[in-house]
Amino acid sequence: MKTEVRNLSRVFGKTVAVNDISFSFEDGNIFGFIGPNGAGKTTTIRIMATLDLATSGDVFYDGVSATLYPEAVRRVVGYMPDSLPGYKDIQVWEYLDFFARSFGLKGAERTRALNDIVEFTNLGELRNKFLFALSKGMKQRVSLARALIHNPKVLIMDEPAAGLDPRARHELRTLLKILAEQKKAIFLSSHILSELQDICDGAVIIEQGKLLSAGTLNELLAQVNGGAPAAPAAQAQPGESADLSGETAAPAPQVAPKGVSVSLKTPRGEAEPVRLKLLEHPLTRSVDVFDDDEVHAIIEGNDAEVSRVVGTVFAAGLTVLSFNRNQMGLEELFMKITQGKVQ
Amino acid sequence: MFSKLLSNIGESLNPVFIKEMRQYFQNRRMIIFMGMLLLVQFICTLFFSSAMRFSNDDNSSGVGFFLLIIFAGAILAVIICAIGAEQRFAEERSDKELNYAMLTTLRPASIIMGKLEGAIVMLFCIFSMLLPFLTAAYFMRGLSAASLLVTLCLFPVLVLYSLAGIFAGAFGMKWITGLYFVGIFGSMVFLMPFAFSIVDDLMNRSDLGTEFWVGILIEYKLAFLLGVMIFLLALAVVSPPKSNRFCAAKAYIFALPAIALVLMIPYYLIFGGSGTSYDRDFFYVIEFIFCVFSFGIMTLVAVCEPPVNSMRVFMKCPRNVLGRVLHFLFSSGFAGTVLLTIPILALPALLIPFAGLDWSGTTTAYGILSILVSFLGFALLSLNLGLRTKLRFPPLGWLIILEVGANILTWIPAAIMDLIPDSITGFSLKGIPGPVRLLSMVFSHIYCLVETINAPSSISTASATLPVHALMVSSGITFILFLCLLPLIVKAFRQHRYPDVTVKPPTKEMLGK
Repeated sequence: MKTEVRNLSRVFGKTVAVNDISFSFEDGNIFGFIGPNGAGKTTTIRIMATLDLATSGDVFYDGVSATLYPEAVRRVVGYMPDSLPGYKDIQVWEYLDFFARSFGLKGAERTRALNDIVEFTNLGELRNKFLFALSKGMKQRVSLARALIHNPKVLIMDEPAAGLDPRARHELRTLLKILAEQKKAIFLSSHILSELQDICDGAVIIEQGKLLSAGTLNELLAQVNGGAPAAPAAQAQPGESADLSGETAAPAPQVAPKGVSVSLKTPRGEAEPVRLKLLEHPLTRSVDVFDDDEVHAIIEGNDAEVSRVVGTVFAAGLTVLSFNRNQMGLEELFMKITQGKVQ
Repeated sequence: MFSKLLSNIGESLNPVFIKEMRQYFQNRRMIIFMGMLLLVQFICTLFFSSAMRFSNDDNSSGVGFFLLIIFAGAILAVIICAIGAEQRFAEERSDKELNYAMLTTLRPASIIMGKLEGAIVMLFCIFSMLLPFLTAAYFMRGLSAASLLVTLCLFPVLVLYSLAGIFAGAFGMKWITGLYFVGIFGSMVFLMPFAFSIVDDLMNRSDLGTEFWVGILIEYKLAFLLGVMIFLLALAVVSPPKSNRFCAAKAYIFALPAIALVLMIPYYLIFGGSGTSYDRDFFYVIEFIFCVFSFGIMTLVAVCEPPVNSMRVFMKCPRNVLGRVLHFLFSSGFAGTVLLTIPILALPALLIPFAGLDWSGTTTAYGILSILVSFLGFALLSLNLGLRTKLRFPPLGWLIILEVGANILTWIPAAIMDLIPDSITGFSLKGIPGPVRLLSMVFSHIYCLVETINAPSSISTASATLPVHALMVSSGITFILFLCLLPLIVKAFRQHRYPDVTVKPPTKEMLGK
């Protein structure tokens, strides 16, 4: 199922919360939605989930308009909001049963759907507990179960990892990966960018309601690092659609690395000459010596240049302890692209 | 087979109703309240039965016990079914749980209906708890079996309270909750002496008579008519933004005078002219009241509606002219609603000459008509201010400010003037109303109402013709305000058409078929 956000705008009085943004994605992938507080993420997500209506533009699911056919769209979209289930005097099982019934699931089909979702979200032991007695992490799981109870093709999540401990975040990551393997399209906003980097295939970055950048992670990094230009579809301009699906976009360009870090083992007392030798090279950013026999160097440049320097190291017969490629993270990317402005 | 039948029934029930019942019976406070009702009733039974044993002169212990039980039951029903429903719905709204329910395939009508069904079932539960004690009351002295049936009068009132609670809760706003509390307790204070006098009157009768049953039927019908209206308004509140949320409510409010008339015709045919109070004038009065009521609600709806419609509404607009006009009138949007108020206003105006009212009644009717016209004037002024100025203040806000301001500012000087004799102020010449009183009648609904009710009794021709003059002035002002709004109405009608777009309809799979 292809999800297309087309020229979406939402105005509240004089505030333009979302300003003419367009992007699209397909199933089987996880896409992050990134932006500073007040950038318009939740507004966009609410419109995508048919909870709000756009001032102009629309969201299409396989070409079907969310504005005109919200009832049909709700059958294929699952929405997990940033707020937690609020009922107090109802049990987990009853809560999920209510939503299963509300989606028209009947009899054995409903029981099967409930059992499956309880097992998937690991809520088995909590099924007879009252919602008020659950911790935040458990409520998040209930919220995810509610969003998935009707087996949607697209899952839209607003800050799903907010307030979760590391274990719960890890569990959530695992669940999302499984869902992506089940060919569901997952679109999630989050402030925890390191989390997104681990699981996302692509990202949409907005600020002040405007689309700053969109594409697969490689495309975004390439854009920022000044390497090969990103795929045309990913260079989203207001009014144009940025296609995030790996299939339809142009082949991902060679990622321009930030550089490499190398740890070398030298004979005792020979670390300093090696350090000086490395510093002679113009691509070397820094060299540190540890314990007289260990050298850590950071070399920056494109692949060809770095290969040349590393080749000379190997040719000198030094033992390489570790070799890492330093790439710009999503967090750095976010900081570089956005300016921290809010509406 | 029985379990299969039960399962089938369970599957066909409204999901919201099932959830509501689960919530009711798992709520600790509710269980405590129910337990307290049983305890109070049990203690009262002991007290009254012992009082009866020790006092041989007491022939009314059953009546006292009955009234106490009914009072306790009614209070509990209001707490659980009305206030409880309001609080829970408002909480659902503020916790955004309602949003998630709206993201399912549930329709807003199912949500409201499920909540109402839950409240009604709880009412039945509370009444069932009263039943054994009511039976005990019968076996005490002073109560006839027939008089136990007066509890039937309570039921529609409590259902209406519950429905009003659901309506108030649908807003999810604290100030609406406050208004609801004021309304519910205010109306209870108003209704309670009235109810007790009726109950006291009927208590000792062995036969309640035809008039009682006709009265009960009328009460149920009125409650039904009012209940449907509150239901449809709650539906409008709950419906998603920019959907055609007011359509059903508007159609019903517009048809309400006609529906009321149809429901009253059987009474006229059966009882009309047979010495009962159900004569022709009674029906004119009832119809007049319904017109006034419909007009007031329709005008309020006009002020609450959006200035422009969404694409979702336009997509349902028929392409032929008649269909387009009807869709424009009844779909959400202030312009159509303003136009709908005109025929509702015309109907009572036409009724007055035919109603066979005396001088006093006619003057009062014209006075009320004057209030309606000036209320429409206020609404039109609010719409003009809300839609034309850039203050970003909604028309409803303007209406509240204007109404409060005008009523206070014009009523106070008029009331002071009224304290001083006309001969001293010189404002009221013979046959010509004083300008202050006239303006007060035009702008202050409270003063107008007081004046029209008092005027005929004073026999003064000047006072009696005052409502007619006020009607003429307010009609003139309202007409000018309508002309000011007309360009916006025409613009809204021009926009109101099937959009020139081609859209892909959802597949059967997406529709779940």
